[in-house]
Amino acid sequence: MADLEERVQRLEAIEGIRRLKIRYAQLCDANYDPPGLTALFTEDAVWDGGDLGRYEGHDQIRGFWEGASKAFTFALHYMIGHTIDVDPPFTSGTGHWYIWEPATVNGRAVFLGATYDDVYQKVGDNWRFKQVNANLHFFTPYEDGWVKTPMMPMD
Amino acid sequence: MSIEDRIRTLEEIEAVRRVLAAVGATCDAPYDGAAFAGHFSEDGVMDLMEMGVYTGRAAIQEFIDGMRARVPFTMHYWDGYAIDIDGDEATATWYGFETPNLNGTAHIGGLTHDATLKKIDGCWMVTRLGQELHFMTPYDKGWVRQRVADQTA
Repeated sequence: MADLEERVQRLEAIEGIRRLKIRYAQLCDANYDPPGLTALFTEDAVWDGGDLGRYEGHDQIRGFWEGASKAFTFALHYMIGHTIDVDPPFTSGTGHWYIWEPATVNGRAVFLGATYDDVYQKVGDNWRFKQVNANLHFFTPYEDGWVKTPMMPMD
Repeated sequence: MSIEDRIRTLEEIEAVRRVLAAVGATCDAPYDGAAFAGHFSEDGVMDLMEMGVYTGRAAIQEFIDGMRARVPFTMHYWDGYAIDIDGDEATATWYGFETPNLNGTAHIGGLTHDATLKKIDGCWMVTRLGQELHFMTPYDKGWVRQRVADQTA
């Protein structure tokens, strides 16, 4: 078994990464606060949402959040069911999360279901996103549900 | 910070998470007002905004027991905790998703919560519990057509 210092560092890293993801959720819910969200990413980070687009670096990532803040007038990001892996020297890590998101998009109530595969990097004392892969499983009008309309157009 | 203090912080985060999960479970139907209020300090406050502010265990228990008569079923899915420990005090925020039967109709609710806690006689007690209701809508409508249903009828 690893020594006590290493065991504590692992648990602190997991808790720090958990807090990063919850901060991300809270800022998404605050109308996708573009500067606040962008600051959670490393300078060279990638946010890759598949059909939602791939955005690399702070400028592109901020632009993505600015677009989201116009289309999504309400959202609650329920981040659940996560696993986080970190290894010595605890300056990077990976995580898998589920998200359940009720939202209002262009005036319409929708449900979004997705999973995340993230890569994290420690910058100074703070954890940051190095890569976010958002895997969209359904994005459906509230009235339709994911069987009738699993993926509605974003615009 | 010493390694003992760092371990204590991690242990207290987990302990607070456990207390808040227990609070959520006691306000699932059939609503156990005594158990719910028992997680609060004697002078604890529950601030439900549009649904009122309740101060002290007796008032909190009375409100929760009153819910038992009005809401025959609900579940509180609480997660997404962010917990900070400062000695014997703690703050927490988290998300809630609820599935109540209100007036014979299925509803879904989206909320965020916040709390302050204090360690009293070795136990984390809630000194203040707050919530922001984002929607509480009939299942057949959704939050755009009806954001908040009447929960007091």
